[in-house]
Amino acid sequence: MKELAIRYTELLSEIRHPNVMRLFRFLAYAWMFFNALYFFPIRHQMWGEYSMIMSFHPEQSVTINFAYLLDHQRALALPAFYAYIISIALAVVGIGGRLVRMVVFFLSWLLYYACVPAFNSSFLLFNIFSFFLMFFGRKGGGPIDAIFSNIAFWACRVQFLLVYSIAGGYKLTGQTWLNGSSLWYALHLDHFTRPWLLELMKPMKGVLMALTYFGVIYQLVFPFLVWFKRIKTPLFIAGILFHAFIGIGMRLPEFGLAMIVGYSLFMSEETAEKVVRKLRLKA
Amino acid sequence: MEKKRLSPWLVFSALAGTAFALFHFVNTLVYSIPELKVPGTAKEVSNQYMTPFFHQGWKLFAPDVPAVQYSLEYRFPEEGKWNGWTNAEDLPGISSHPRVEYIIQKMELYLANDMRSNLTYNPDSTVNFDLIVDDAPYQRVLYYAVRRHESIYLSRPDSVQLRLNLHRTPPFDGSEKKEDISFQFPVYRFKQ
Repeated sequence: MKELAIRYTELLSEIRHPNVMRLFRFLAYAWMFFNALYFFPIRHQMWGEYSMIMSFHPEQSVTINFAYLLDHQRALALPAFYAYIISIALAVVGIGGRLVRMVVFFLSWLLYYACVPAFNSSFLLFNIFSFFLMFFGRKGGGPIDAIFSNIAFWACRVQFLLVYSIAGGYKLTGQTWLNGSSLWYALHLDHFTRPWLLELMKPMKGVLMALTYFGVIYQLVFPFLVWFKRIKTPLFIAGILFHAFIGIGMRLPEFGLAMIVGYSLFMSEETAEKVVRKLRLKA
Repeated sequence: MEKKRLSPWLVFSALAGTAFALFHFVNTLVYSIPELKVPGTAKEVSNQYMTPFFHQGWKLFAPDVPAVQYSLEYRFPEEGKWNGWTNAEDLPGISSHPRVEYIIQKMELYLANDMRSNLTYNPDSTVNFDLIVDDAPYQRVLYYAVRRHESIYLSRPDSVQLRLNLHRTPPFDGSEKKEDISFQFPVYRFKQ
């Protein structure tokens, strides 16, 4: 047992995916940065003193009260939003280290709870990623740094795979995914669809069924197939097309991009190294 | 080759970090899949741990894509007469940002979910909104409608009434579409 613990520690005490981690860290904060900019034009309606969103006071506890801090103190919400944008910009370029990343983590949750209906699950996913990203270190940062970096990196991977598995699993419990009609109904939801796409696809019921089945099967098999080197590239291409369709066709661009950013967690170290070198990312 | 000696502190860090990660993901599973059959205490621990900072849910379009969508309208009196119903899903002259519509539709969805559990009927078969109007989802859309009105007309009406419309999607199998429904909420009067 002791021997096993030592071997396990040895395995963790060296960062084995430094470039994948660097690339993911960059892409994740870049996603958060652009997402924050997306909300910039409606910041007053979301977090301003005369916000359109009513304050919400859930059950009282220390952590809940802290999470709803900006909801209780509206005057602080906009300054917090500006601080959030600045801190993500610093995190994107790799300035400020863990302290800045910690600020990003807390501010993103506080802003979320001050305007819950504005966000979809991609924001939640990146808030969770931002927790693990606080532990990302760099190569040469010492064995303790490496241990926590590796655990956090694997936690990001597991979290991403859980998104697909849970979403896919739940779809199997419904009817519209099993009878192939989900996309038909999704395209009829005004706030998701684009009218031209609905008109184009309405007569193509067979295609709609095929795409519905593809969507649910993809989510279910991704967590297994992503570990096979040979399958990875076609799997990612199919996923990028799938999420681009959701992003563009169903007006959920940030969700589509979020999932595509998540794919970088599973890139090979060699490919990630090339991308990191091209982007000249800081360690 | 001589084997590098690891300090016990390193081994402890690796094991403690992994134990924490395991704890985290077990709680993530229990929290994200409420249908899992686990003891009540485990659910309580998971709720305490996951909220607020690891809150998540992965049920978009699951288990089913809704076959109904909602729209919100409101009206207010002017010179003693009720105005026509106004679509509340946009902010003309204030913002044309696509997220505005999304926010309102999400609030409509919260209201519809609340109505699904709390709407009751009076003995004469009319709808009873008593449980709904005291709940946060209704208060939210009411607050929003009033704020919208104030932002556009720069005044507050002395009363306001909301209407939630349910639009049904034509069935995939080509069968006849069910009729759309409207729920007209009681008039809300501001205290003078």
